[in-house]
Amino acid sequence: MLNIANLNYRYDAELLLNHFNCSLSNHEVLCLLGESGSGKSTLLRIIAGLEKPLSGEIYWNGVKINNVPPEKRNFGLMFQDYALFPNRTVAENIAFGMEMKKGVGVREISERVTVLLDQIGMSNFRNRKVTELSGGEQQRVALARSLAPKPHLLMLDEPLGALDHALRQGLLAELREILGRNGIPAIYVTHDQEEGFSIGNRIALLKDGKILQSGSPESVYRNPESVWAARFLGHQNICPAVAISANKVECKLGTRLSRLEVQLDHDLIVRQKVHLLFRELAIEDEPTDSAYRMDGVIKNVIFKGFGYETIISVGDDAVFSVWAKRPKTIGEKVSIPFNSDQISVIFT
Amino acid sequence: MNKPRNLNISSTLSLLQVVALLAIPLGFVLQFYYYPLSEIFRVSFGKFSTAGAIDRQRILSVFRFTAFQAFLSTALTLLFGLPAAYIFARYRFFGKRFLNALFSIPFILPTIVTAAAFNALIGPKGWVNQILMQWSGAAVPPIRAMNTLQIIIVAHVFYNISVVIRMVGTAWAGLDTRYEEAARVLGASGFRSFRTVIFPLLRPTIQSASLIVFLFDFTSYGVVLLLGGGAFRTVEVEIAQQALLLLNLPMASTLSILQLIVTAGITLLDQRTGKTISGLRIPRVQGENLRRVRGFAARIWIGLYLILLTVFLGFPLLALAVRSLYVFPAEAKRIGIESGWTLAFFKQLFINDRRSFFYVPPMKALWNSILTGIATGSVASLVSVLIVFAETRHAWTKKIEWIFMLSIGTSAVTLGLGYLVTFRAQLRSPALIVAAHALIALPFAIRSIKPAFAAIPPTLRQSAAVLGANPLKAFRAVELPLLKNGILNSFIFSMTISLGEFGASSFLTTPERPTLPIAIYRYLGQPGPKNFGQAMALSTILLSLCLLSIWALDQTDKEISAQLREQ
Repeated sequence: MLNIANLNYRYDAELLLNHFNCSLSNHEVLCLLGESGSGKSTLLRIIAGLEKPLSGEIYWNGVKINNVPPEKRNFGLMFQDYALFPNRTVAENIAFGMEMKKGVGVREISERVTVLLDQIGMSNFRNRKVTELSGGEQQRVALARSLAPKPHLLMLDEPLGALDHALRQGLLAELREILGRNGIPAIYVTHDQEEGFSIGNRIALLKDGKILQSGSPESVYRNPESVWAARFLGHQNICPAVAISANKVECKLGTRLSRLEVQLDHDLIVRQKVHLLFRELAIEDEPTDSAYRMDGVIKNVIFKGFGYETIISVGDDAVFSVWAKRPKTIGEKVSIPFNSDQISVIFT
Repeated sequence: MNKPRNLNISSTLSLLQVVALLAIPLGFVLQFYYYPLSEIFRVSFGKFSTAGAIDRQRILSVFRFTAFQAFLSTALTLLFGLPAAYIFARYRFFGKRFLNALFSIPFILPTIVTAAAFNALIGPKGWVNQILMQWSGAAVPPIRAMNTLQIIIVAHVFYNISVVIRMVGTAWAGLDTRYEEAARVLGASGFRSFRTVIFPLLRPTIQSASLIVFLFDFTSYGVVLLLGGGAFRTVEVEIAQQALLLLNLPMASTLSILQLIVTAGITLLDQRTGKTISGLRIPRVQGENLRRVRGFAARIWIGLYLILLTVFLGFPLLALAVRSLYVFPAEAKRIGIESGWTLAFFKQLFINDRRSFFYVPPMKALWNSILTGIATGSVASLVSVLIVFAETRHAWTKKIEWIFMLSIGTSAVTLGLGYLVTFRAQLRSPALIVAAHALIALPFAIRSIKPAFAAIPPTLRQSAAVLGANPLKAFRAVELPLLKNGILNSFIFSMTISLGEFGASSFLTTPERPTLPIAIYRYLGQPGPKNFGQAMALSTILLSLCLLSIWALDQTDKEISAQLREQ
């Protein structure tokens, strides 16, 4: 449906989008993840037609829409700070998009407003001023306002960015449910990977004006393409390694050099330098029959509610974060069990 | 600390302090504002007022014309000011700060300079006509712009457009661009998003700016008198005519009272609509709402618009300055100096020409104005320091501040008339002009001193008190040095107002002691290229003085805001 080819955009001297390519299919919720200032918001503004790209094309169902003004595109855009019209009530804000359409009757508008107010659970806020609403309420009204004219595409620019943590969790679930129910393809922009994983069918990592990697949340999380991507997604347990055969690598874990077997679709080249990412590491109380073990010393223990994040120094350079069910004492020596299927190879 | 319920020693002391502080300010406004005002009422309704003195028909037609020209001027000011407000609020472009400063100059200029500047540009002896006459060899000026309604309206737009640009521009800049972007994405065209979202949000500000501009246009005096050439009479002009030429004081007083009612009404209306502006969100990052001018069409219209405005607002001033230094060949023969660039007009200012209608050399007028300005600055600053000092020590006195601010709604001509009917015996005293000017300047002096006081943290004074300084010593040692800029600010501001003041001065100036604006007015009214040249020279001096004080005000403002930031 949406196809973006070779988009370039520059803000002052900074190249925000650099030969950017991307596509979006029906019913898909694409989550664009990137650091702040990486040009995510600019991309949405370009798709909405609020900003003109330096070069590149935007197609909608195969038709180039570069020169279509924003009001003719019928795309919805929800701003980070909502931009609710302060001179209009809640209902008037939601109705705005439909009022702009030709041939939509007053009754039809009113009915749709009622349905949407019901969906966001704010039926008794109909005639309230938007300046009196809390952050979460404003966010819902902004969502309803974007959905009201039944846009072909909905774009959300860090919609939960301004809200506190507890409110975010609740709204995230609500948002996912509303997006699913309305069946509108959506692009969701955020810098928070947790938020991205829970809302998107597909994740795209934005870096240096390009999509670095895209795929299902699971595949992107399990197999990040670069060390930067791995760290950005929250991985901490990374160490350098060298290939010694098609499926074996050598790396320094602790005091001894370990030779590890890895699972890959294709063969490694001998002496190729890679990074290893260890996922879902945990310290078990009972001995397990894992293929490998690494030794380390407990540096710190942080209580995280459903377990303990245990910081372990492995050797001189590496510091790993490992889950434990029970608290360990600082300074204690432990050995962390793992298997080949917990290792991802990062090539860049 | 002071509980009003039980009047103890400290609150009695506090009351005494306030009385001591406010004795001079209260005495000043009572004597020089409220008393003359009451005299106007007395003359209008009193025994002097005979049945034949008041011409109802005349009053009606004067008010009708005044309102008509004010409406027209305001509408045109809005029409040309709003696009500029939009450009300044939404775009970043080369030379923006310079243009911003240039566009606000006309507003600060004395009306007499505005009138002289338009004369210098398109008057019969102005640039355009002189050059056209040189070309065609015609004996009479081909463009007759003076003494028309059009030129009055153009001059009104000239000096009021910056009110619209500033007020609406600031409000517009504070409106998040996301409002209009949200509207666009929701299907509103550019114009429709303005109409349905931006305009409703700007409306209170536009209303307020319109009312202020209307008020200025309604009470316009100097421009109508000088550019209209007696053919057009606004209420102000009519008051002056009735009082000074026809000596019909009851009629003049009645007009003044009606004028007061109208201005008070407009001010009240403005205060009621002004309230709705607050409560809007402002953008978090400065400059976030600004964008560059992109695209061919945008470049063309914005570029052209700014050039046109620059020409409109800059050329009259330029014409004035240059005209004071240039003699056309046609004029040269008549006044016996060589044509071309010359300082002759400035040199003549020092000469007491016997054929001149002045008793004194014109340079004396500058001297008189500067003395009056210094005296005005001192009086207004002293009075306003006392008022603001009382407010910082005894917060309740803020509630009676309106007593000192009320004069802002009174026109200078009304004030002049009040003095004329009140101080008949002392009419030749120069102190009267100083009093009138200080009274006109007082509200502005108070406003410019306030930020300086606000910039002084109260803890500073408290620590001085803890260290053993009594209130007077604490003020002298701690506050006064820090207030220096604020007092200087109010002094310069008041002095500038005094330098350009024309309305009240035209009632109170004696022939042997003219002020600068009065001298310019008289020269402009006289025939001959020499008188015109003198008017140009004097206007250029006044213009330079005003620009100098704007610059000085800007400097002290910067220091005060730096001081505020340090806190």
